[in-house]
Amino acid sequence: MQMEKGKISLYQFKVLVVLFSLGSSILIVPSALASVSRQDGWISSLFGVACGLLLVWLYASLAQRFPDKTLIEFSILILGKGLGHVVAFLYFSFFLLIASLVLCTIGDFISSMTLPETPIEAIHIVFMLIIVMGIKLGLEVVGRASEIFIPWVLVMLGFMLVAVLPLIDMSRTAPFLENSIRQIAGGSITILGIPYLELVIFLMILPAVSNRSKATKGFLNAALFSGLILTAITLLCILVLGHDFTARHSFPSYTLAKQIHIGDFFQRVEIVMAVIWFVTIFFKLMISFYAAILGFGQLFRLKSHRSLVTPFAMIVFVISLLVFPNVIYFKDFSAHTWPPFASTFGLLLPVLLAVVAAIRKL
Amino acid sequence: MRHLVKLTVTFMALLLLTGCWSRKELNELSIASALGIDKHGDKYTLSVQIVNPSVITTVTGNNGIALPVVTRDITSTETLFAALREVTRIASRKVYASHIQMLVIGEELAREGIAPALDFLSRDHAMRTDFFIIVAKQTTAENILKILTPLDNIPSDHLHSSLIAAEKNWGGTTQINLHDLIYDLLSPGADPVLAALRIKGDTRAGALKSNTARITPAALLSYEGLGAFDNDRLVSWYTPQETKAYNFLKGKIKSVPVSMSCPGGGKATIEIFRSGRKMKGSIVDGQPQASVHIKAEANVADLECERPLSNLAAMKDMEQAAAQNIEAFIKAAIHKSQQLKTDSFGFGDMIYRSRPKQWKKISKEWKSVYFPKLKVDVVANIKIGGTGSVTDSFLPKMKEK
Repeated sequence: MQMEKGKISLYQFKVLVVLFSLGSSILIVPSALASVSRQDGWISSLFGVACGLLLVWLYASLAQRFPDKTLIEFSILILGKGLGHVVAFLYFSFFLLIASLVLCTIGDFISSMTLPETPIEAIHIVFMLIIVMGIKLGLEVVGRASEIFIPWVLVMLGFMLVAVLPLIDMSRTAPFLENSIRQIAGGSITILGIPYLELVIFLMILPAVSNRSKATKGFLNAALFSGLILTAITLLCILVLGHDFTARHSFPSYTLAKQIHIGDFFQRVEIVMAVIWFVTIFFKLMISFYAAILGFGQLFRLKSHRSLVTPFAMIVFVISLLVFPNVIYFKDFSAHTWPPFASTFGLLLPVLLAVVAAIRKL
Repeated sequence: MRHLVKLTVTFMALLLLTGCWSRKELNELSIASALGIDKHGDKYTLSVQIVNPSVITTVTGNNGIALPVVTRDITSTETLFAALREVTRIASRKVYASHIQMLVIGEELAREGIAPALDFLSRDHAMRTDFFIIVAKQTTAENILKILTPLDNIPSDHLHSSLIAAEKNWGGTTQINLHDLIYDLLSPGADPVLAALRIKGDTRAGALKSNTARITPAALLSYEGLGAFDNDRLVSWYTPQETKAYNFLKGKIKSVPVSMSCPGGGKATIEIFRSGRKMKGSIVDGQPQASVHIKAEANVADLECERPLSNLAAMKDMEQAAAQNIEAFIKAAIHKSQQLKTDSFGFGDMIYRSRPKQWKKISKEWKSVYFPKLKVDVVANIKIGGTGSVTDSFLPKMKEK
């Protein structure tokens, strides 16, 4: 059963992986890393990226066994009808939850940093409308849109990274490796939770990639690239703001952009930088929402998933308003609850699937 | 027809795009340029300097009636945020604080502790961390914000540029923003400092429009060294000379005059134009030690020496004398901070960075036991390059006449 007829190129796939990995983690990860392993947060990040690449390798090798099937389809195939459907349904709910969490993150960011008096519902609705439009246009259009946006994101990011260089204070990373290995490894759990464990979502997209033979390498490269960007941003947050500021601020990378001050005329550009967040989070939301809908359609063997888009958009909208009562809860959730929860879907189940598939010689 | 409908709908959508939900037009806002915080009893007094747009926009000068700024003060509730909103009681518009340039803290509040007042400033989304924080010396923040300045229409503008210019060209004061301040407050091995500002002259006359109409204003705002804080409480003042030592140790020296006595008598001033410092902390036998190495390049700016400066040996002597002079005043400043038991120069941080494990053992007693008897080696290395447009001074020759 082939519900999605659109194809995306390998390059578009890589771009989507990068945008997905940066979306929302760019806002959350630096502060979570710095709060656990303090000035060594960037080492935690590197450590996390290394482990994350192992996860990506696991996903890619799982996908290689079933090149034309999505995660939902092959889990039913591997585990049989009963258990397979349960796992598939769990995955669908996981994707839907990610979509809601991402929507909540962007709403929270906009309402606490720029539009405090605008009802958060208004922001969520506007954002969701574009997502609905994008999904209705199909994966091909989303892929092409990502190709248009990636240069902007990279140029702006590069600009931000260069513009804060004069503000660096090298002594802020000292003492180097003061924290124990346990602390550093513990710190890397956040970056594993967001985004690496979530990358399992791309098992829904991979069948649509036209050049499958190189997809594994592309997946790994894209995951590495975005991991390095996240590490660079964390390092700069620590070098410029200090680990304490980074940990205490809700959105340290935004605070970092606030520091940009070149001459007396180039300043107060942080909202331009926020465009990076908007774009990356838009694509993250798009992909997770798309995966949820596609998964639901395949689970219940629907002929088309288009009719699901609007009702599910409403559901995501409602969940996004309910998931986090406040920012403190959100910080605590993404640091302590999310990584173990996500590892059920990002580590436990994929390993189970791989093992069973190997035993059953599928 | 269909195209027409589409076009109309598009243009109607444009109308929706022009404004955001909670927009505030300029005419609904009072733009604050400086805030002042004092404390009387357990209540804050907030002073706000509000820019009067009708005066600063007229190029040809003002009509002599309107004031460029209005400073309001409100004795208010227990928190600053409430106080800032309460300003609307007496001002016509909501105060917009994103563009404040200066935050002045009154001496009384500073002596009591500044930390509680700072939370709001770092929390409020519209607030940026790039304004300077200064402490009022022997007066209140309210009084400081009332003084009108002759050279700049907006007094906070004056304070802002004056602080930048003074740190750069004189070195007797230093710029501290909210970020630096909180950083020092939190670090166990450093205590914050804030630039001190004093009113010279008659405070009451300074608040009158006529203050700007006099050749010598009745009241002037003058930067004078630093306030030394023990955690968040003001304990003492550093002189401008001690502040120069602070700037040397923090690597903030840009172009600073240093006066010294010449090897053979008389006085000279050199201008440091490039300076770097290396600081090292260590722990030997459980006792912390620190060393400071300062390397600077200077020009002769003013030579009133008895002996001529015409040969290489004399130049060497001069360099040595300059180095000794700088070492001496840096040592004196460190000594003073040790007596105050406030680690204004951040020696504790330095030791923490190089010996994190041993630091943990001494950090609790750092300020009470270890810091006051910390041994600091100060070595300065001064290279005098240019002598300006003349080499030797004409003064010795004049005496021979």
